Amino acid sequence: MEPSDAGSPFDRLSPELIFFIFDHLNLESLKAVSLTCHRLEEMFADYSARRFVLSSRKKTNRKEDLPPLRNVLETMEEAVTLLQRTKRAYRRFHLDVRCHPKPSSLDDMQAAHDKLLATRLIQQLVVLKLDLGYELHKIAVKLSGVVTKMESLQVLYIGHEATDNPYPFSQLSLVNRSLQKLLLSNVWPGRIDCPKMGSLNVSVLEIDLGSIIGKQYVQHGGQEPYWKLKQLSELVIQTLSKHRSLSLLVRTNSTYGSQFYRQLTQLTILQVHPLLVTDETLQAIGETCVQLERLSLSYLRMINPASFHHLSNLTNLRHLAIKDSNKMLSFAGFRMPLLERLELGDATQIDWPSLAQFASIECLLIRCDSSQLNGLCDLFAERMRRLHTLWLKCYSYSDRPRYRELAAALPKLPALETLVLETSVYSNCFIFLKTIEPMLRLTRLIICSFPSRRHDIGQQVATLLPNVPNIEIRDLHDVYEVRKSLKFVTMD
Amino acid sequence: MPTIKLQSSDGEIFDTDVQIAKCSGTIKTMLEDLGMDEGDDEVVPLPNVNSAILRKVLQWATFHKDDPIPVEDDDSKEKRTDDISSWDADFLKVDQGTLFELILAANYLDIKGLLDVTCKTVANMIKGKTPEEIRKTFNIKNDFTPAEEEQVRKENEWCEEK
Repeated sequence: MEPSDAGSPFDRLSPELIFFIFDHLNLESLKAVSLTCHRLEEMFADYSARRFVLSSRKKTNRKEDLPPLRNVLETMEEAVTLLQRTKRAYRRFHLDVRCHPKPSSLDDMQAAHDKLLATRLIQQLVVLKLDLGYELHKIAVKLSGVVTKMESLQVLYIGHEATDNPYPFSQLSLVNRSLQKLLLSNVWPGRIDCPKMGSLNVSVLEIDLGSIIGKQYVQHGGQEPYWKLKQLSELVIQTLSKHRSLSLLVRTNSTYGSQFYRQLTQLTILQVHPLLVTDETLQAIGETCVQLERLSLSYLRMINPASFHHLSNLTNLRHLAIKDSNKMLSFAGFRMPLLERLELGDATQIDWPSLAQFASIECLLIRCDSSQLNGLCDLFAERMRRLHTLWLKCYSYSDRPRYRELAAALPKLPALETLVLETSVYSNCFIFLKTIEPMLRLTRLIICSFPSRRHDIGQQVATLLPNVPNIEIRDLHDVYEVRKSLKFVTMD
Repeated sequence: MPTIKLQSSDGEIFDTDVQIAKCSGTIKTMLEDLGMDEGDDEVVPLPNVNSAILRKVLQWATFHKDDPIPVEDDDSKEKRTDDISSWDADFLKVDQGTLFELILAANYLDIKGLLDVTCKTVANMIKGKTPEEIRKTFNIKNDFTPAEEEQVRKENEWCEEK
């Protein structure tokens, strides 16, 4: 049928109404719409900028799956053409130029970057994400110049391959008046001056960033000649390590590290992984970061167990995560009326009765091997009236009597909806499953274990618990994915 | 029950419950802010809605008069379209011209619930179709040259979810 002269009913709708219809369509349908006629293409061009992103993102994080340099250069060429010609007012751009194998010369890559950074659209972006491949130090200077001129920039991500360089990208200088959120991976600039930046998320390889930054304050009397960070409300530092062993973990330089935290009076979110946290650092955080709502620390290495008490100052905390501690953790005298989420990772020395005042806890993650659980069972029976998500790590063969005791206490949790059992020993789970049956509110059970016999186990569990609607058997390798989906932050 | 008189663009007068008329944000504002009191014999003119469409709109508003006020959700994700009630689905079994007239009327009269459900219906008519099928469905004339179409296709490849 040829289109009649009456025209399309869309001709009568204002852009706002057409956008409202677009709100109900997925990207695939919208792309089809954009290919129907000029007017709807123009509508989509206006619309796409606010909902979608211009991206060359790779679907992989596996090095071997990355394309070779030649393909990446083609992609960059295409990006330059697109950025020069497009009428679509994109505000977000994600450029992924990682390649494999490592090219012998990076000159071509450098030239392609120069062209790209010179395009007009780059300067108008609100969100820029760059996944750079190998060490491209020459880019640093150019990128610094471009970032300064980006007047609408709000979110900037720069990712880079890990190298042995202890101060990667020190030639980079990030000065921008509008930037709100900065994310860096294996990049630490020589200068950061972005007065509106409230959020910083950085992962680095085996350097103790806290001490490096703290040194600035010690040497310059609390001034910030290199990195202006006092205004931060969110700070996440992830220190990647090539070695898994605890003894090789970066030990923070107590004096410099704690001086850093002494400047951060505005913080509401602080996550530092995985660094050894000393008495001085705990004191600095407890005394300075009193507005914290979320705190996540890795390994507490205290000389004096009373240092933990410094955290009792943080009365606004809603979420506290501690990966491990060398001393007993006692919450006696803590008053955190808002605490909803407590993750005690692998810490096994816990003074459970001291948690009695935390009646607000809704989500709890604990390791239940070889720790004294007596007090915990009482807590379940009497205090944890609001607990709806419970994650139990139970890795031991020899602690079964203890597991039985704990399992018997679970039905006393009146609000429990989600139970996660993380173990390398499937049979440990069955100790718990036998007691779950009468728990009417439980709607979700997740078992994280090794995948062998996964199918059999799944069926067995489903037969045992016909009333639990969602039963998931997950691989231990997916444990972080599961934690993330339940909003836990502890990493191993 | 108090009523008011609504006048369609073609002059027809609709004696309407005030409560039903106030489903329309536009009419509600007129009555409250412009001091048109209930019980006055004044007529509210609606020059952008003809009688056939106004009749449909009032039919919809009568059925939905006790609905809670819909909440605005402001995320950038795709909104769902699979939650149209069976009454609404039946109500919207109309020709395409009427469906688009209802969108325009719902927008002009500021009736969020009706605008939602009519736009969802149009979205459902687009979903899963090829560009050619969409053109056919909505009588759209293809004004692209093959080169232009290729350019759009290429640019679309770079467009991704956040």
